[in-house]
This record gives sequence, C-alpha cells and structure tokens, in this order.
Amino acid sequence: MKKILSLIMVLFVLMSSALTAFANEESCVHDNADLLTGDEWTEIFNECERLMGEYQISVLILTTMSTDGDDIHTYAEDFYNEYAPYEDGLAFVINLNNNEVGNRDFYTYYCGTVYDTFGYEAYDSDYGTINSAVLPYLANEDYYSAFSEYLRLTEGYLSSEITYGNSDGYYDDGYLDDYYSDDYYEGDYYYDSTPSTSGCFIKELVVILAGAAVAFLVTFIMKSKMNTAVIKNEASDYVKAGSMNVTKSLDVFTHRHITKTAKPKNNSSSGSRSGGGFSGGGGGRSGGGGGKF
Amino acid sequence: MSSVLEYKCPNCASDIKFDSSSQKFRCESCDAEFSEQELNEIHDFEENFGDGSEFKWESEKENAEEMSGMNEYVCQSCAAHLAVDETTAAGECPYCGSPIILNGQLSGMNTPDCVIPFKLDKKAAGEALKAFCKGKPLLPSNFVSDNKIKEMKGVYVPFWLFDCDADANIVYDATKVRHWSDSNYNYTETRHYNVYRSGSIGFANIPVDGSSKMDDAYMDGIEPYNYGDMTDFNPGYLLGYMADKYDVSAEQSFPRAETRVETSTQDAFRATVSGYSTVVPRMSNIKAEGGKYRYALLPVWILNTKYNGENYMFAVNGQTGKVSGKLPVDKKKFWLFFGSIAAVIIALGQFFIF
Repeated sequence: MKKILSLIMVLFVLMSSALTAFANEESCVHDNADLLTGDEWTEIFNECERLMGEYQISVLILTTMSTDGDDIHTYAEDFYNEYAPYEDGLAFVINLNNNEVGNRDFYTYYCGTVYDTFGYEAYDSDYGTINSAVLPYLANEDYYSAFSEYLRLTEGYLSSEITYGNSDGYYDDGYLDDYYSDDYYEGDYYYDSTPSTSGCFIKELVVILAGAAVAFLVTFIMKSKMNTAVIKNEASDYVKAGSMNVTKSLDVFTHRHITKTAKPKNNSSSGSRSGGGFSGGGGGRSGGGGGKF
Repeated sequence: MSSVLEYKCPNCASDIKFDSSSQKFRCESCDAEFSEQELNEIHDFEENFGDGSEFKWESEKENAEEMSGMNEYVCQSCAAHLAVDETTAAGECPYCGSPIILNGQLSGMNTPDCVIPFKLDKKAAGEALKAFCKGKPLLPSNFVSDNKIKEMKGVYVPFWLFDCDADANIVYDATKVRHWSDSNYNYTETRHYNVYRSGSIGFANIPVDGSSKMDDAYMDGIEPYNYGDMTDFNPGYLLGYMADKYDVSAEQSFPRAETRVETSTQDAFRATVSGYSTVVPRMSNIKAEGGKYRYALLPVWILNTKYNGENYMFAVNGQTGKVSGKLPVDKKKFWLFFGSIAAVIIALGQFFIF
C-alpha cells in the first residue's frame, strides 16, 4: 500500500511539474489571431523567454481577432494578470478587430517597475518611441518584423534602465512627476525586480484547495455510506393507504411588499487610445499605450 | 357584520376595520386585507385549533399473560435477559458476544401479542450482509468472512407497534416572490399568504424497539417489516432462536412513536401546500385519541465482530434481509482515495489556470 501511495504521489508531482512547465512555455506568446508561422512563433517565443530570463520581468505577446467587447487596456491588463510569471513586465497586444483596416489596435500594457521605465511611452503625445517604430510594420501586416523590432527596442530600454538601477533618463525631465508620488522614487525601489509568483501561487493554491475539497466531499460521501444505522424520526412507511383526508384548505393573501434597488451604473468606456492609467494589479503601478493601424 | 368587526387580524392580532374603498377588512397595523368569508373561515379554524398536540394510547390487549415453558439466560457483561426454549442451547450474547448463563425458568416476560416469523435462514442473512459490504471501497479487505457469518445469531427483538389516526390543524406563513426590472431599477415583489390546513391521517404498526440493549438506530435502519406476514404469537416460532425480554415499557416508548407521527403528519400536510416560494409552519396542533399499541417480536439476525480492537454490530432484518450497521473504514484506503482524487483534480486544474 505504501508503494502505491508513493507511486501516486511521485506521478502527481511529475505530472504537475510537467504541466506547469508546459503551461509556462506556452504562456508568453499567444498568437490567437494566427499571425505568425511556426518558425516565426518559435523565434519570437525564444526572444521573449530570453528577455524574461535575463531581466526577470514578464514579456508577453498576444494577438487576437477581438477583445470580446472589452476596451483594449482592460483586455491587455486581464491577459497580463493571467499569464505574467513576474509582477513587473509588459504585454504587447494586437487586436485585429475582425480585420477592419484602420480599426485594428496595438497596445502595450506596462506593469510595476517596467511601467516606471516605459511609462512615458504611454503618455507620449504620439504612440511612444517603440510603438511608433513598429507601426509601419504593423501597417504592412509584417507582424514578425513588428514583434522582432518591438523586442529589440524594448531590450534597448531595459539594458539602459533596469540594469543601472537608478532613476536617470526619462524620469529626470519631470515628465511623469505629476503622476507619481515621491514615495515611489526613493532609492532603487522600482529596480528591485524580484520574481513575483504571487498570482500563480494564489491560483495554484485555489486549485489545490479545490482538489482537496472535492476529494473530501467524495470520500465523505463514501464514508457516509458505511453507516446505515440511522435514527428515523418519521413514519412515512406506516401511513395507512388512502387515510389522509384534508378537511380544510384555505390560502389567504394578506399583503405584499415591494423592494426597489437601483441598477449598478456601467461607467466603462472604450477608446482607440488609452494610457497612463493606474491599477491595483500586483500592488504596483500599471498603465499602457497604443493606437490604431 | 358587527361580530366580524370584533375580529383581530389573523396576521398580527391587531384591530381590523372595514375599508370601503376595497370592500375588505383591513388591518391598520400590517396592511393585511381579508374578505368577510375569509375571516369567518379563519375564525372557525382558530376555534377548533386546540391548545397543543396531544396523544392518548391504550393497549390492544387488556390482560397480558406471562409467558412460560422457556429458560431465561442472562449476559454477565451487558445484562441482557434472553428467553430461549428449553431444547435450545444458548452460548453467547447476541448483543455483545459475551457468554450467557442460565438464570432458571423464564419469569416476568409477557406473552407477545404477535410475531413475524423468521423468513431468512442464517445463510441467506449472511448473503445479505455480504451484499451490503459490496461496493464499499473503504471497507477493510475480508472484513466479513464466512467464519464470522457463522457466528450470526437469530434473535426476536421486542417491539411496540403503534396504530393511530392523527387529526392535524396547521398554519403556514407562505410567500410568492416575483422579480422584474426597468431601465433604472430592479424590483422584487413578495406576496404574503396565511395558509390553513386541517384534516386527518392514519398510521399502522409504527415500530419502537423495546430493548435497551438494541440501539434504536440499528432497528430503524432495518425497517420496514412487511406486516402481511405478522401472525398471532405462538411459542413454536421461538424454537432455535433467542427472544429478548423487553426492558423498555410501552409508556417509555410513547415519545418516540409520537415524534414519528407528528413528523410524518406535518410532512404529509406540508405536501398539500404548493406553488409558493417559501413555506414556514407557524402553528401546528396534532392530536391522536384512541391510539392502540401491541407487543410484538420481530426477527433480526445479529452479528458482532471486532476490528482493530473495536466492536462492530450488524443487524439483518430476518424477514426482508435489509442490513444496518456501521462498517469500519480502512484508513490507508481512505487516504489513498483522498490523495488520488485530489491529485486528479489538481492536475486537471493546471489546464485551466495556465
């Protein structure tokens, strides 16, 4: 019995590890709109992986045919929160919007210290340096080149900013001072890019708890069937057939009560551009910017 | 009309006044409205409601006779008193498995009014027990062996059987809930009703076991018996079996019988209240006058066995083969199942979270 238990536990651990590894591999490039060939996808994926490993941030790419009614910022943020292995990072999102030329979205969502580094991209009066650089490729529907250029330029900023661990560069011009409180700028706070697995950990914890709950429920039912000695406080088996006689049956309406509650208002709005927003995701700052092509 | 004006609100007991606009009687306190006919019917119902549940029982047989021609054995461990015919050798107590010793000629045990004879022999009862153990993956392997089944003992367990016709008056608070909405608001309308039900329902042969040695839960677990096989008592039915001498009187069994009658009466009348979102009993009055009871012996196969130093008892209905008991749980199997199920769910969960 011990051998069987050990074997099951080993299999379980191996299975979970394999699945987790597989899922992580899959998670940094989601080409749902099928814009890349297999080889192109592999190259972009390898580059994302390399950047993630080297800079310990999330670098994600998503292509989609539609945002299912969400605005692009929300869609990118949800995607980031779901798949980002690190709290700090970015997600570059292409929404073909059912391939309506001129109505297709590109958008970058930045989170945590990466937002501090690239935040100005979101506030640029145009699309931002990186976004502007890749726009021609996007307009020509050369998505592989667009992603390659995007990652190349991104690393340029990463190598000059994050590795230095200071607030030189874009922050010195005071461009974003209106948006940040001083607390965020002390020391190397936003360059301490420690891997954050809190999101994944919580999800994993939920799955483990769900597994334990289902296992408890099933074994509880199995265990309850082991006992059939139960007190009966009713006598339905001993009712004389046809003996029930209802002599009075009166249902009287007395009064009614109506409650009225206001419907929640939907204040969300969508636009072709968004940027610079703050969200509570991961406990840090986040925002993004993009445009149409 | 003047008599109606003296009514109190059936809903909150406040004063009721006639409302000329609705042509109904209206309670100023809770806004409930009633027609005159409704008030009269409610008044009649309340007049006959009574002061509380009440049961009266009497024995079916006026003079009980003492049984004779049997030996009485006593268990030195659990003090069970067992009647055994003079030709049958008795060795072990069916309740605890301890040796029993002859106490002399049976005395102080009344002759039962009726009996359901054993229909299942030991082999058939053993098969029923084996079938009960099948499909229980948490049961220790080979828990019920043929050797153990040979130790099963046939016992006539004393029961009190109760018959009665119960009269019920029950008031329910019921509601119907409706939801709708417009562009700005969600609305919920709750319509309140007073629901009145009166009537009667009959019960026959509600069993309450008369042995303190036999756990009520085990006997409830092997119900019901088929009373079509019940016959007047004849000592010949006891040959080869033991009969437990009752030590719980009929009077001591009344509360259990009454609880069972009340619960099933309330359930039966509750089933007549339909079409509502919620139904809550407000008042209930159940009476049974002229209830009868009689003393019966019902057949039970009993097996006592030990596992990991603990006693486990199983009861098999000697007529229908229905089994009741608490099976032990193999802890290793339990954790194996728990771990396997949890592992599968967690592994499947990985596909959804990544």
